[in-house]
This record gives sequence, C-alpha cells and structure tokens, in this order.
Amino acid sequence: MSDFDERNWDLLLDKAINDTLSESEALELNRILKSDSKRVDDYIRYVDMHASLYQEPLLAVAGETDNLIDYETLKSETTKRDNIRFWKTFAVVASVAALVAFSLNVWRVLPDSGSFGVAQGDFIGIVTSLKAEEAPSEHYVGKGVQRGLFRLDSGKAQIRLDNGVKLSMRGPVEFDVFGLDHITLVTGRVTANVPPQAIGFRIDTPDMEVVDLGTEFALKVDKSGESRLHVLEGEVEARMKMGMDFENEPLVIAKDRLQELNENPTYLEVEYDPNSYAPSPVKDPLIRATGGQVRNLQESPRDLRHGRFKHDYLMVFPERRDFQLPEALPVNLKKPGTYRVMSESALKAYTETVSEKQKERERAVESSVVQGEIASGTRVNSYLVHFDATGKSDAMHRAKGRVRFENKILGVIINGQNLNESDALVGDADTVYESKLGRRTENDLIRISSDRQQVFMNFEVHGFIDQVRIIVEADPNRVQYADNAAR
Amino acid sequence: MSDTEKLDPRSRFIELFMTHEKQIYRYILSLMPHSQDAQDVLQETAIALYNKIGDYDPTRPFAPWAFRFAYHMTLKHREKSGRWHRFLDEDLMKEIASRQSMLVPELDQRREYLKECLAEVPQDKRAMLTDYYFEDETVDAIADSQGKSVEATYKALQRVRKTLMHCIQGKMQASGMSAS
Repeated sequence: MSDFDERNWDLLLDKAINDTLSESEALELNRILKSDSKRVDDYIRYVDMHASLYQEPLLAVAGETDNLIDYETLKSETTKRDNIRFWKTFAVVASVAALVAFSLNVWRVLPDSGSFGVAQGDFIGIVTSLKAEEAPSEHYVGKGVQRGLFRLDSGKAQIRLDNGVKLSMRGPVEFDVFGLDHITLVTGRVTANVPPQAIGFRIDTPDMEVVDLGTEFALKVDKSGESRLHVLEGEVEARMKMGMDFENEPLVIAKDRLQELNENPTYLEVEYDPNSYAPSPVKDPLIRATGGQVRNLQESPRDLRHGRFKHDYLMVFPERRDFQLPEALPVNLKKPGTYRVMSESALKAYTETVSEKQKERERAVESSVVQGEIASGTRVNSYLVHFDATGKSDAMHRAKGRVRFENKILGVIINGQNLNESDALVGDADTVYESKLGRRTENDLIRISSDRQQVFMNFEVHGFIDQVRIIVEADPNRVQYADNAAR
Repeated sequence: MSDTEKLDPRSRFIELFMTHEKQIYRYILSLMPHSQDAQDVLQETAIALYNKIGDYDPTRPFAPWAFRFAYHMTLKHREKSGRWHRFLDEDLMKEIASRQSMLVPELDQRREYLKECLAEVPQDKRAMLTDYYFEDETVDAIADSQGKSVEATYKALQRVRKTLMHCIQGKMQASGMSAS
C-alpha cells in the first residue's frame, strides 16, 4: 500500500470505531478487508485495542468501576433464591470489583437546609422506605444513614447500606451502625438481606454474634436483651457471647440443613412467625436492575422542591403504580435512541456545528420535543428520576447510570412544563413537587435501549434540578406482588 | 471434576461469564465497534447464555460457545438498528469472528503492552482518553470542554490511538512476537 492508502486505511479504521463512516467509506472498508486478509488482522488488532481502552483501569477515575452488564438482571431470573452456592460463587468472583463499585459516594442529604455541613463520605446508607406510625418522625425516605445510633420509635422502615445490605426494621428498634459490615442491635427487630458482595456482614446483639454467610436472616432482641434468630434464606454463623455449653461456639445454621444440627440452640427459632420479626426487605420487583450512580428508593420522597432532596446519586422511585390513564399523556421521548437534550439556542449552535454522523449517533432534541402520547386507558407505572446537587461548591455536578425495567418503557417526560403538567396525573399524591424553579434536563444525555426496557442517563446540573419521569407499561401481576411485599 | 463443574448450572454461568465478560465484549465490539451498542448486545448475550447454560458442555472451553451466541445477538441487533447495515457485510463478520478467535494469544499479549504504552502517554492526552473511554463523553463534549473544534478532537484521539498502536507494535517486534 502506498502512503496515501495507509493514511486512508488509518482514517477508515478510526471512522469505523467512531461510527462516522459514510456509505462510500463503509464500502471501501469492506473492499479492503475482503481483498487482504492481513488487513482483517490489523482491523481486529485496532478494534481490540479500542475495546481494551474501555476496560483499562489506568483510565478509570479512582473508586469508580462498574460491571459491563447488570448481573441483577440475571439474578432476578433465578426462581430459587436459596441457592447458597450461587451467592457464594458470585461473591468470590465479584467481591473485589463490587467493593470498589460500592465505594462511599454520598455527600449530602439535608432536606431542610441550604448549607452543607456534612462532608462527603459521612453517610454510608440511605432510608429507602418508611411507614412511620407517629408523625413527625425524625426519619424520611431518602435520609442518609451515618455511623452511630439509629432509632425508630414505631412503624416500619428499610435502609440500604452502600455495600448493598438491606435492613428492614419494625419499631421500636435501636441499633448502632459501626460501619458497612457491622451493626449492633440493641433492642427491637431487624431483618437483614445481604448480597453476595457483603457476605460476612455481622450483627451483634447484647448476648449474640451473627455473621451472614448469605443471604437473609431475622433477629429480635427483647427488653431484657435476650436475642432470637431465624434464618430465612441461606446460612449464618451464630454464637452466644456467654454461656457454658455449645451455644457459645460458632455454629453454622443453614435454612435448608437444620436437621443436620445435633441440637437446636435456644436462640434459634425454627418456626417463623412473621409478625414477631421485621418483614423481609423488599426490592422493587418492577425494576429489574440499576447500575452506575442510580439508587432506587421504595417510595417517593415527600418533598422534591428545589434544594430539599439533595444527593449526588440519581435517585429513582415509584410514583403511581398500575394506574389507568384517564386521558392521553404526552411524552417527550418515546422511541429508542440516544438523545442529547438541549435548549433552543444550544440546539441551534449544535445543529450548525456537528456532522451528520454525529447527529445520527446522538440525536439532539429540544427538551420541549413531544414524540407522541400514551393513549387514554393505558395502564402504566410511573417512576421519577431526581438529581439535585444545588449548593455544591462546584459549578457543575455530574452523575450517570441506568435503570432496567421488567416492562416496556412507554415514554419519558423530560420537559419542565410537561413534568409540571403530569404531576397531578401520574405523580405521587403525597409528594410536593417543584413547580417554579428550574426543573429540567438540559445538555443531558438520555438513552432508551432498543428493547425499550432500559434508560441510560448522563446528567449534569448547574443549580437546577434534573428530573425525568419514566412511564412504564403496567403489569398487574407484578404490581400486586409489589404491593403485597410492601405491606 | 473442577470446582466450576461441581456447581449447579446457573452458579457456573455466573462464574464463567464474569471470567469471560471482557473477552466477549471485545469480541462483540470487533463486529460492531460502538460501545453502547456493544454493551446492549453483551447484555442480551448474557441473558441468552444464562437461559441456555444447561446446554453448555463444561468439558469444552466457554469462550467459543459464548462467542456463537454473541455473534447471533450482534446479527439480531444489526437487524433492529438500520445504521449498522452498511458496515461489515455478513461474510466479513464471519471472517472477523473466525480470525479473532485465532488471534486470542496475540491480542492478550498486546493488551499487556497497551498498559505499558498507556503509562507513557502524556497526562493531557490520557485525560482525553479517560473522558472518551471511561466517562463515555462524546467527542463534541470533549471538544467543548477543551475549547477545540470537534474535528481537531477527532484527530487528536486518532493520533493517540495511532501512537499506542505503534508503541504496542514496537514492543511486539522487540519481543519477537510480531506477526507482521
């Protein structure tokens, strides 16, 4: 090949990986590859390097790694969740990456304050659900959980620690959070669901130590400090702190192998009375998986006005479930694709400067675009994604992540006015939404997957709230399950 | 019987897939070199493999079996997405898939050298690569943040990639492993 051909070859390779080949260039690349098998090898070497760069730790920002696929997707298809070996195997392989991925990232969750006195990393979890019987409660959905004492006087709550451990509790309950892998239950009822990457999570009580070996167990401590344990799934290692007989030796108690125990320890309740323990932690069955900097709450926060629910995650939570639309609902985005959402003026500049290929790959849309509507009578679920980083010292704050749903996405609402107009219809009746100050997506990337079950978001905020409302096809059976699980 | 073979099929799948995930991703990307599309195909491939793991013969290597699924998922994705039709035709895809499997040892070595070469890339160029490959920023956004034109940013990225290719090739030749 001549120098010119060589330069042309380099250019074609680069355009191929940038997805900017024209029709004629694509044909030319095909022709060259077909005419010379060495070029096929060169193409493979080049593309393999390109692919490797996506996976190269040297290019990663410290503390941020992510799996390429959503393993939750696969786990959700596992019908029997009591397979200990599954979790253990998963844990062995996933633990290192997952622990890095679950690095502490919360920097503030202060609903009533405009100031930020809490440094990043002070929070190690979040309240994802709250059914308080007494109001007002010091807790609220979305509240950050810090190391130290956590008390719930009445009602039920669920928290998610940053290592994925879900703790469900029934008040009155009091426990001390030492860290991501260790709490002490002082009194009350807690049920822990421990994902593979957090196996080894430990709960102490006044008279016991329980270490999770995967996946779910319930503990209760009465007023006298006496503990009772029930293993719901998987296995734990437990022992009494004091005592003379075998009970103060660590004992592995597996849900499916209770018959292997020579003698049941007194702290073990083999028969399960659900009312005497905290309920099993719930996972939203309508959300198949989340990835990146997305965090899923079981309920909608009460106040979403500007500056009231600040977090450095993209928070996703349900609003209306299995709701039949009484009227048509206009949606800004309906079709699969990658969208760059822009203001009218930015869009004009974008249109004039970028190539046709770029426009094809990443479609720039004005946020007021309306691609269609969801017909009246359609049964839908509504989810809101909320990102509010107002007050942070940086001028701009970014977060990206994805949500994969069980059902088809019928549309995404991105425009402030459309959000305001749809609040009454598909918003949560108990939530106060922002209606005056900025509530919008601008210069944000939103991608609806080709199977219309996943939304990828790359948001940046400059003093405004980024919100999108995702309308998903309802599945009455699943919603029924969700409602039951929430009870 | 190995530890992996003793596991039930779905546990085995998780272990096998996590071990081979990046390799499968690179395979898909060679047939459709766009990261978002490749990630979609990877996800679809994982689900297909998961559902068919009972058919997998554990006495045989996992990667070639997984590649077959990845290949068909890529074809399916191309059918859904019109913009890939004009790229590699199906004969070429078959040839690339076949050659890619044969080049695995060489590609493994090249990736080792890529790490060394990347460490030599000046900080500003590496920051650009981080923006593009890790942050998933578009070329437009990188150009905007650097105050350069989009065209200049494409060219800058092209130059860094070319430098890396030359660096890797030099190390391959020095070690006597170069095929060309």
